[in-house]
Amino acid sequence: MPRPVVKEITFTLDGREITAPEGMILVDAAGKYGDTEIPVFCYEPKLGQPVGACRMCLVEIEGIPKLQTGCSTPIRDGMVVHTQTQRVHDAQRAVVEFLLINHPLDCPVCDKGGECPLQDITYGWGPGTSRFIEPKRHFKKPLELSPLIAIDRERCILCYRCVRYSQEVAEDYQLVLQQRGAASYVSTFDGHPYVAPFSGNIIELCPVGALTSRAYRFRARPWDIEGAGTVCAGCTAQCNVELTVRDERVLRVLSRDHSEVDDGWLCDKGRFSYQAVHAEERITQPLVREGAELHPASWEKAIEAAAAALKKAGDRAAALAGGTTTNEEAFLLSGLLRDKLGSSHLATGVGGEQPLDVVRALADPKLQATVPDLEFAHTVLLVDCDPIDEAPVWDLRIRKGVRRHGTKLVVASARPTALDQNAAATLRFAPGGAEGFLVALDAALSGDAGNLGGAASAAGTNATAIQEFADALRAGGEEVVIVYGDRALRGSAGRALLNIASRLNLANVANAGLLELPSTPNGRGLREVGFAAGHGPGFSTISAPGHGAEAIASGLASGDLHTVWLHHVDPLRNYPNRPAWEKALGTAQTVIAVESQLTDTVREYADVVFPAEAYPEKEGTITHPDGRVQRLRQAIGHPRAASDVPGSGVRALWQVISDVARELGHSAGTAIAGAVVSKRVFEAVPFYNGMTLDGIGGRGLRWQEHATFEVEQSDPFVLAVPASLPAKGESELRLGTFRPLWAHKDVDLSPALQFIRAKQVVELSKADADARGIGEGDRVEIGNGTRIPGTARIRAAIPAGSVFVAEGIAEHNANVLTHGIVEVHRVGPGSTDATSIPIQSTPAVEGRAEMPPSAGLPIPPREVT
Amino acid sequence: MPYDPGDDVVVIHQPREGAASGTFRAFAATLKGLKMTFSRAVEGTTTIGYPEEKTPVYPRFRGRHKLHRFEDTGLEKCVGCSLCAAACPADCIRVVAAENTPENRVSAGERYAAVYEINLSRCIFCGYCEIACPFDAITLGHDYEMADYNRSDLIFTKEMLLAEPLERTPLRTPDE
Amino acid sequence: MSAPLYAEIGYFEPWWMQIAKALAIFLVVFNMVPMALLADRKLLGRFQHRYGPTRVGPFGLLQAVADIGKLLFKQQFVPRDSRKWLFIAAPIISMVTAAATLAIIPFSDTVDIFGVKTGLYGVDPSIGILFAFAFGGIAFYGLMLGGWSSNSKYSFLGSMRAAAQLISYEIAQGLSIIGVIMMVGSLSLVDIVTWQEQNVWLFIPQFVGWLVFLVAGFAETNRPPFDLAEGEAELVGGYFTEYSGGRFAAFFAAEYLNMVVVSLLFTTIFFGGWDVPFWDQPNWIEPIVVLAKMWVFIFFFIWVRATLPRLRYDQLMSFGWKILLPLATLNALVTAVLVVVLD
Repeated sequence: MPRPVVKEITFTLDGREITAPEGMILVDAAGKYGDTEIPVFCYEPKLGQPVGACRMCLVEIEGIPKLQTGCSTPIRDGMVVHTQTQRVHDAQRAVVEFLLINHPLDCPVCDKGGECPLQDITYGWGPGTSRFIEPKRHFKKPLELSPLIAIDRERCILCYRCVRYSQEVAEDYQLVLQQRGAASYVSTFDGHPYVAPFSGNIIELCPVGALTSRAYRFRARPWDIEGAGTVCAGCTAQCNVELTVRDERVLRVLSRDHSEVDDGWLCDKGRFSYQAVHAEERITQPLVREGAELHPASWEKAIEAAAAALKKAGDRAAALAGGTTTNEEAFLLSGLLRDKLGSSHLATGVGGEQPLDVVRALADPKLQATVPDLEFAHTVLLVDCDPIDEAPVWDLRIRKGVRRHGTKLVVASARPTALDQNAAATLRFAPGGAEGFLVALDAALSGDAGNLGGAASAAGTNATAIQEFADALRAGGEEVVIVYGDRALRGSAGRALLNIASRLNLANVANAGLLELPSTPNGRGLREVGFAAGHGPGFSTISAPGHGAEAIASGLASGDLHTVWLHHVDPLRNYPNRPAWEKALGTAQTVIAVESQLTDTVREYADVVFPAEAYPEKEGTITHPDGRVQRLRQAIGHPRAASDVPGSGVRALWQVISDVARELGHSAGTAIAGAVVSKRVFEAVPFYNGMTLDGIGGRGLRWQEHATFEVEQSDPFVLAVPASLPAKGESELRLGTFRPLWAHKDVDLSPALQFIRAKQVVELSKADADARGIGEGDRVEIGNGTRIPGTARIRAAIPAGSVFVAEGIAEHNANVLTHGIVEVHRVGPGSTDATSIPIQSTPAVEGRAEMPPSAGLPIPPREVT
Repeated sequence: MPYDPGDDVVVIHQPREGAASGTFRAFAATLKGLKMTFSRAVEGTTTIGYPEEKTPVYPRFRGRHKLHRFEDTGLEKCVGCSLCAAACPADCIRVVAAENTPENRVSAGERYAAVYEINLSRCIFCGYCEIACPFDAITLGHDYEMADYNRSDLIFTKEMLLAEPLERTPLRTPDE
Repeated sequence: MSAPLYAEIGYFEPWWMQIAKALAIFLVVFNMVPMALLADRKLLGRFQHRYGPTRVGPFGLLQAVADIGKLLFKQQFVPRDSRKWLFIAAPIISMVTAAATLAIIPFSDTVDIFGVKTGLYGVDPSIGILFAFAFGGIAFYGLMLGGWSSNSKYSFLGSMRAAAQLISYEIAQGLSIIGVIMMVGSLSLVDIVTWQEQNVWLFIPQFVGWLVFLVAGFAETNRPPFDLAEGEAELVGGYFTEYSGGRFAAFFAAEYLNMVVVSLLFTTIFFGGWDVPFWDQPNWIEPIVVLAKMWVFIFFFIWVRATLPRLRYDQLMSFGWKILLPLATLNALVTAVLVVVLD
């Protein structure tokens, strides 16, 4: 879809000729091109159409007798605007005086004090005095709008920002304005807590202190703190954030608006899980296993132990990386294993390895879509992924495209996604049927009826549905963005995806392409700096490819591999097939783990543990899924060990790997500063050449815009029909897994997010539930041999025959289930204990059959005091 | 045109070196100086022997800070708003606020100062904190005797500032 | 055979009396040093509306003792590049030469002690005043060597200044005494005092000579306003910049001892020594009279220090050479003429 065409016009502002793009809102044009600030409260372009609720932006426009709101007036050629006349000043003073009539003016105790637009505008444009001597409006205060947000309704100036956000951006439709006139107040419709994946954004939107963060409540004032810009490494979306730091502690996470990455929004996980950085449970010094126990050890001892183990293992060493691993760490670690030890057993993703030609072809710059493309494309196709769980802000981006730009969304997934109700077409295939779906879609697009039928049935759906879906995909327009999760890339799925891209001619259409959703936050960067089994830095060919994750597990279990380095990776929690990994880690001679908390992996299996840095402590670069290299900048110092001896606490991980390399005599893998490693990465990866840390700066650099990467063009591959899914019995269900947004170790350690910690839910269709006598909220067990308990949740959009359970969670993780076919039993009625009921992150109305899920937490609003 | 100082400037004539009268004037000036110093010695001393005698301070003298409580309820007046820290030009005040609960009510507002520290070795006693305070919770007292052996002992905590200060300094009477 | 040695003084003193006398004079006068030190500080305070030291002992009387104790216990630092033995010797030379002049100061005429006829003075050599000047000349080595052996530019500059200043003013000082010697007809200090007892205190006929001697005495002792050798504003501390502890104390004490000695010379040469006019004073009171007169001059030293600012170096030199020296010469000539004419 074409971006809006910009036409320059000229208008007069306070007697000066100003040139600005036509149709721009007067407030924006005056600020950006006219250097004139028009005060606003309710106006926020990110929220969509202006409402003109606060009347603060009144200006005088010649030819119009009454004052006009600058926030809702687009500029026109020849328009004559006055912002400094007596009439405007009188109006502004009157508006401020009116707004302050019911405002409690408790700035000394208000968290917004010092960074409050109402304060600033009152000082700048207000009358200075009030004539109002009558009693003010009073509400009970402060109330818990949710466990994360406190609402003080007395301070509210009824600008509608939060309500509009809930209605038009997050589309959870929970916040409304109740009552009328002076008695109006913001709340959820039914009075239940406002629990949603993006609820924290209203704290930043609120122009007064009405909505404040419970976690940040009274922690600091604006003059106590420093802002530290970095990138949230909590998920693939890599939102730009500004950390609020006081006394070397992160107290708050704010959005650092970057329209190419996050559009200025943050999810609640990114906004509140910073508390894990300062959790008591964090590992702050190296641990070494002596006998059966892990004991704190000095750095020298731990590095020596790790080096000795790696030396002994030689080319039988392996490494897994994930989480917040930076490009620098991955580069150093892969260099250590590959160049010094001769091992290429490096794995990042949970999926299987694709052949090198496919990996290269998928990285073709011509095929790369960007995040803004999600908003402006004609059609967005989601392939077996749900952005709300894996890259939450993309969910908002896609909603914005659908709502404002008419982007057509088509969803093909096993599990119903949060975006289904915005989708023009949805296709459900069976869990594990992504490969079949992609082959079938390719066949449907190419008209290969033979493959279509076979592959469709292998995906658990039928040819007609696929064909209709393919037609819907084609119908929107030529700009198509395909979003795919890397766990869908199994077998011939990668080739099928490339075929689809070439059949849709994505390489030659601007603003179209593929957008991967890697399973680890820096998945793309790890691959590009050469942390992969099959290729070196910049997808270069290597002589001896190594094993992928699954092969590493079996290699460790069989004794072919001896030592494994787990870099920010917890395979028992985050990798499929926990029993296989338990066996692998149990058999491995040495397990070296870089971890921030005592996970099962560390507690049971790790022999050497290096304390992991949290992302606010890291320095380095990470690469966004669309190729944007972004900088992590150190915001706080590394925590000290309990002994408080300087140098005994957490160390930078590039330094740790460098020290291990030095111990091993690998001088090429040592470095004296983080920036040196960055420089080496930029030199080693061909398409990063010429980048500098300063050049990346705060906004990042997309390498596709500066460098080329030539990929051999090939004809569409000829694909075989994938093996059909295993048959299931009458009473059995196909098991699918999903990773909830809240399934993250940092969420587990953040006190503020405890209420929303991911717990096991068993999602199944109405028909399957009825057949087993299961009701919503009942306690059920799921499994085939091994069983895990969970809470039943009936979702109308799930096709009969499929069941979904959460993986990546701390307890009753789905990865202990190794069979794709499971049975579900009811074991008891739902608990009356509200805290045991899992809260769903699914934000919006799903179909017409279900109610808005705002009732997840049956706690009535209570007074915070 | 040469500058003419006119009557505005008193020209001091130096004794001309070598001349008899100049020598005499220099000699006489020396004697005059000796007379001057001797008469000072006769006048006696103006020293105030500090530790034994103290100069009374004026009522608006800005000495050590005091934090105040409400006299009726005993609650702290300070709500931990940190405005004093914002006003402080020496950056010597640190406030960490916390929330009042019904079980633990410390101040009258929603929040209270869990930590209130003034680094008196850095403080310049300008009194801006007192001016900034919206609740008259902090005032500058009359005590100026704060010397100590450790820098860290000069960081006064909330408890020290809330405690009744020693009245060691005489206050000037109105007619003084 | 020994008789001729003592013939000049006309009596014989046993050896033990010599030693007892030397000890007594040295101890009594040396004890004036801390007193002068304290007086300096206390009086300077008074001149400036202050108390001066009040903390050590009653009214701060033990301040000087405390100062000396402190200095003696401080580290005696010797700079690495200094000439070590010269560095160590310099303060000793200063002390010894300052003390040596005490030997010729008469505190009384000959008296009977335990039946022994004894002069209340160390010795009464016939060269008298020249003895004092001779040791004044040696004292210059203390300063010079102290400054030079420190191997520090400030010390060296200070000692150069001191040397130039001492040489310049020694000439004027010496010439100013000529008149006195001509009038008395003897170099012996005992003779000078006796002459004054019989005639008149010499500051009256030799007023100009006295003035020149007074000013030159200030310069010789390095006291303000002629303390350029210290010049702390520009030279840190002058010749003793590098000294610390006991050695510094020795320099310091030597300065005050010099002040005491010069005060005694004023007393002896111009103010009648032990004589109290119009009173036939008993012998036992005579040393007290000498010390009392000495204290008057010490007070004057301090008074001048409180009053006059330090001279500029060129002023110092031109004052010494262009005013004091001609004045002293003129005084000597006029005295000579008058002595011949009046005789």
